[in-house]
Order: sequence, then structure tokens, then C-alpha cells
Amino acid sequence: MPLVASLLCIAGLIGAAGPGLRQTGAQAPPGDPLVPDSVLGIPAGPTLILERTEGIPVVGIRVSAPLDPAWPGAARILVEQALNRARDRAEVIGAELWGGVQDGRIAFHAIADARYADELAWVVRMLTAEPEATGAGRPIARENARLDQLAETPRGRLILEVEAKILGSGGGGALPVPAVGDVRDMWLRSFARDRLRILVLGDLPLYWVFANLSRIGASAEAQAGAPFQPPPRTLSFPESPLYSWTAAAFTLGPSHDPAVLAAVAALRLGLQQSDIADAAVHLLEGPDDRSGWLGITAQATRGRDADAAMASALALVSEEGLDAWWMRGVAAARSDLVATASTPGGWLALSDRYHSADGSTNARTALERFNTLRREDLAPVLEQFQATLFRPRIDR
Amino acid sequence: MSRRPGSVAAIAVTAIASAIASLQGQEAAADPVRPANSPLVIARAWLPVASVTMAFPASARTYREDLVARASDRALLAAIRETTADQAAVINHYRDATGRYFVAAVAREAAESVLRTMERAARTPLPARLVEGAVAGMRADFAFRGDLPRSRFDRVLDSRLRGESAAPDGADTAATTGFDGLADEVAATAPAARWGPPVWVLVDDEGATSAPDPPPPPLPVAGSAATAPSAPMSDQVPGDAVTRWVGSAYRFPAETTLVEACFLRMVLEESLESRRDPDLFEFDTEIDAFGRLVVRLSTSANASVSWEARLDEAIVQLGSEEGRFRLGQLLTSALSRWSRELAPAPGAGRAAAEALLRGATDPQAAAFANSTATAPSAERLREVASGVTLVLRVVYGSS
Repeated sequence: MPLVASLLCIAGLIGAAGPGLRQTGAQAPPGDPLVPDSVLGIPAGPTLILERTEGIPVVGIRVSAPLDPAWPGAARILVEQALNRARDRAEVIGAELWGGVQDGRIAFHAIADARYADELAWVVRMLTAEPEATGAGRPIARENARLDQLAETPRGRLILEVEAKILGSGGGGALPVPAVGDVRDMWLRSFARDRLRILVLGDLPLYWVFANLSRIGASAEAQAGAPFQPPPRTLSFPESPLYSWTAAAFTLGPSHDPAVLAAVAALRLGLQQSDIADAAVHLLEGPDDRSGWLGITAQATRGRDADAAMASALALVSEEGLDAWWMRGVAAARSDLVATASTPGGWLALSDRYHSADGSTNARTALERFNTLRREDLAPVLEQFQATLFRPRIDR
Repeated sequence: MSRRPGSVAAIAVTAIASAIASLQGQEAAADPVRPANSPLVIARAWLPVASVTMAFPASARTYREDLVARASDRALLAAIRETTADQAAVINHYRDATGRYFVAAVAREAAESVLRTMERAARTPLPARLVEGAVAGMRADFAFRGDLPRSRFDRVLDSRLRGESAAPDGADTAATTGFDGLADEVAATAPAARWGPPVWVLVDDEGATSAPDPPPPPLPVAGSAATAPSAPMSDQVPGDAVTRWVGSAYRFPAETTLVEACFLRMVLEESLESRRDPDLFEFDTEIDAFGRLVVRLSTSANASVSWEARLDEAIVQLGSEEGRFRLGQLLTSALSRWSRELAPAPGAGRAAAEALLRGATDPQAAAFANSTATAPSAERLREVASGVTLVLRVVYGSS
């Protein structure tokens, strides 16, 4: 069937709300940009989340895919290759280009003037194309260097250990550096069309979205390998002659839950304001990239000072400890959401983060949840933190 | 599936008198549509969040005045952040050659409250503890970077742009001087009393929905350029830095509008970026309060090619017949940059505030904040570029 005729059929299906498409979310209430205009599922294809805003001078497209396998190193290489592939095209139209692991998904966005929507779709197709073997050498070398660099310090060791443990490979090691084949396999699994979310912000007709974006990603014919989990790589760490370190980490559960975000913000405030003597205490990683875990390190010249500092920090991870910081944490996390929503890229990221298959959650429900958080909402979050608390072995 | 009702992208100027009735002390705007004591409102139905912008003019007639402005801004920002800590808002501060901007990204339902809080903070003398904290922070900051070559160069160039003849090496404005009595001076007067009433812009989804008809005349960039201070055309200032710093100021042709000037600035940046080589360390551009295009760049002291010559050449090329195709390419990229800057509520608010500080009427300011649809053509930009003239050049460092 000619392409034009196909598109007309699709348009007809849309207009008639026919069986080819399923509306997977609730219609937006009038006038609320924090709720997607519409969410559509294409059979054996991606989920389309559309924010069709008449008059906006930019068009933004975000594509996100699950992290499968849970191997951030492979995702980093995949993203770097994709950005390298698309950068020249994006620069021609002055597009903002971003890629990374966010909210536990591999994500890209591209944003440009609305007049260049067609070119932007081309950029997005390049971002989501199958990774090639050529050009992978440099990102893989960079990932190797990253791993070696992290392994040199106790702080880096903590990051590697936590990453490996949270992602299911067990503690005491680190995830290995992926090879070219691993990256391609990740693309086949993660970027399978029916696992993609495509978010579109702009004044664009639906037929344009279908024509330009519905066939990106790996087709059903592409054969992904069996699910796999990379074995951990054993690391050896130099002793730290000058400092003693101690560390703790815990998983966050559904890390986009407003209560979790508020608790983390409260903990951050509490640690910043607490006067812990003779030691440096830091939060590690955390939910900035929604990586699903939070680490605390304490560094001191004497081991007992480091232990005492860690005990003080962990005392904050309790209802009594966070009581003074909870409401400020709620306000800070809520303000973060507002600041994120103020840019097109952040707006798309929020739509992605709070999307649920049944349409019950969105950025608006998250903002309302922030507005209604109470003191008693803290306890279940802290239970989650405490239940997953672990203390990685670290050089002393 | 239907489009969201009421999403006619309305861009308009109006007053929301009920929301801002408490605003006092702001002078009546030139535009008769807006009552006195009210912000310019730019309505965009599709925005997920609102923004509130408060802006004071850049006050840099003297070095001391600049220090006072910096300390006052630091303390005022801290005061606003403290008093809005329980609101769904993030307050940021920016400064450029035109103004000093306090921009809040805020949940729509909290916009009115945040606006009132900011207004109150600007009318109240700043708390002494915040002022002292601000001055102490500045001291530490200046002690760290105040005598770096970039800072010394900035002081020399800024004094020349103000029409002063500074000491040859900028020593008269050494980084560690000027702090005596600073905290007392800043704390003595409320910001709105010292700097005059700020301009206010509210970007929200509410307000009048009709675009100005007919469209306002475009805002000229060089409205006050005739009063720009005169300075020696060229100046070589010795310095001990191993880098070479060059500051250049260009005057636009008389009929250039602010939008055209902004686009030419962006196109020039794109052009310089495309010519970048290892000798060019950094550069930035701005349009100062007198409507001049100011370019600062640093290069290796022994660069084989003079980058100030290449800068002049880049501008000449943009205005030449031979550069027509290249200009079209660069304009494409600049258009996306401009749209991305003005699409978010904070970006639109800051742009409108800048226009107001430059003397725009309300419709002109709103038009500037929504100027993505009225970008100048490549042909018009070529005309503007061909009329750009160098009016000041300062070289600092190794000759």
C-alpha cells in the first residue's frame, strides 16, 4: 500500500477511534498542560504520549526505552554512540540534544524551532537507530577509563559496589565494561518497538507523528538474545593511607514517588545543616538520575570518627531524625518538579516519569500529591530505606 | 480525540489588577493599557508553569555602584528564597549588560503569592544578616577570582565602556578594594528605593487573549546609543597574563531593531564557533544598555592569526554578498536557539523585562518576548551586518 494511502488509513482509524489504536490514558482535562493531551498505543508499536500545544514555538521529541539488561555501562555506550551519530544533523537546525539514563530508562530528547519538525524527526530517527560496530571503540574506551578511575578511590568503589548490588549482580564487584555485541543486544531488547515510549510536545498533527515516528526502534523481526545479566567483575582496591571511609546505601523503591523524593530532599537538607565533627559526610548519586539508590559516605582521618559520623548520618534516616526537615524537603522536591516543568525538555521528562499504563498518574497527580503530603507519609518511605540498608565493605 | 479547548495560543498584554493590586510604588508605564503598579502579563495557555520576573536596570556607572548592586542582589535573592521556601517556586538571578533579573519559575496557582512576596522584599530594607552574608560571600569570591586575568580584563573593558579612562592595568579598581562600609550602605536602603521601581513581568496562562492590533512598531536597539559614553577607539593595556584578551564594541546601524540585533549576535556566535581553533580559548557576546554589540574573547598570546582581525572579518562576511548562503545556514541554527530560549516561561519573562528596561512599551516588550514568529530574514540581517561599525577595542595582556 502506498505510504500516503497508509497514512490516510491511519488517520481514518484515529478519527473513527477504530480498533487499530487503543487510547490507553484518560483524556486531558481542559487546559492542564501537566496532563498529556492523549496517550495512544499502536499495536506491536510504541506508546505515543502527545502534548499537542497550539502556538508553542518549539517542537520537542523524547524517546525512552527500558534498561534491559540493567547495565548502565552498556546504556552509556549506546547513548554516546547515538549522540555522536545525530550531533551534526542537530547542529544544522540548532537543536538541543540530550541523552542519558533517567528514571531507570534510556532516554533521548531533541528540541528545536517548530519550523524544523521534519528535520528534528530525522535527528530522532538517527538517535534511535541500531548501533554500529564502527565508532564504538571510543565510547567503550571511555567506559573502561571510567571504571578504572572509580576503582581508584573508596568513593568510586562504593558507587561500583552499590551499582552492582542494586542491579542484581551481587556485591563485592562491579559490572564489567560491555563489548560491541552487548550494546547491540541491549538495543535489540530495549528499543523493541513495542517497548518504546515516544513523547511529542508541539503543535503537530497526529498524521505527522505517525508518519515520522511510529516505525523507529527494532522491528519485531529483529532477534534479541536471551535475557542475560552480566557477571560482576572482581576489583582490587588500593588501601587509602590518609583517610578512613565508611559507607551505607539503600534502595529507594519507586524513586519517582513524591514521598520518596521529599524524604531524600529532607535527608539532603538534614545532612547539609547538621554539624558532624571531624568528618566529611556526603550523599552519593541519589535520585538525581533516579538510579534507584542513595549512598552516604563518611570520611575522616580516624576510623572511629568516620564511624561516629556515619552513625549520626544514619540517625537522620528515621522519623525523629527527619522530623525537622520533612516539610522543607517536601517544599524543595515540589519546587524541583516545578523548575523541571518550566523547560520543554523537563516537561517531556516529567510526562515520561509519571506515565502509567492505566493513565492514573501524570505530572499533575504528582504535584497534587506533593501538596497533600503529610507527616505520616514519611514512615512507609523510611521503612523501605531501612529494609534495604546495607554497608558495603570499603577500605579502612 | 480532540484538542484541548481554549488552547488558542494567546499572546497578549493586559493587566490583572486584582492579582497585583498590592503592588505599590511602580511608576506608571508608558503604555496606557496597563494601569500603574501592575506587571506586564504575557499569557500563554499552554504553559505548564508560570514565571514572575522582577528586574532592575544594570547599575554600573561606577565600580563602587557595581559592588553595591552585586551585594544588594545577593542579599535580596537570599531574602526572596527564604520567604518563598514553602512555595512551589524556584528563584534564580541573572545579570547582563542591560539589567539584573530575579526570575521565579512557579506553579501557576502560586504565581500571585510569589509576585507579592518578591515585591514586598524589594520594598523592604534588606535584613542585616543577609547583607553581611552577601558581602562576606563577595569578599571570598573576589579574593579567589578577583585578580584573575579575566576579572582584570573585565574591569578594564567595563570602565572603557562606561567612558572612563582607567589606570593602565586596571589597578584603580583592584578586586579587594571598595568593600569599606559596603554592608552598611546596602542595608540602609531598600532595593526598590535605591534603584527605582523594578519592572515586573508575569508569564501565565491567564489574561487577555487578543494580540495587539495593529502590531506595535519594533523596538530599536540603539534608542539611546547617541548618549553612549565616548571612549578612545583603541586601547592597548599591558598585563602579565599569558593569554591575550580582546574586547570589542560595535554600533549597529541606526534603524536596527532589538530583535535584529539579537539575531545578528547569535549568528555571529555561530560563525565564531564554526571558525574556532585551538588558539581561541573563550568568547562571549552581549548587547549593552547603549545598544552596542560587545564581544569579549581570549586567545593564546602567540596565536598565529589575530583573532580580533578574524572577528572583524566574520562580521564583514555576514554583511557581504558572498556570505549570503552561510548567513542563511547560521540563521537556521539561531532560530532554534531563540525559540528554545523564549518558549519557557522564565525565558519569555526575562526577555520582556529586558525590553522594558530598554524603554519598550508593553506591546513592544510582549512582541519581543514572542518574537520567534517574526524573526528577521537573512537578507535583512545581511543589511544590518553590513552597517555594523567598530567603535571601541581594548586589548589586554601580551601584545
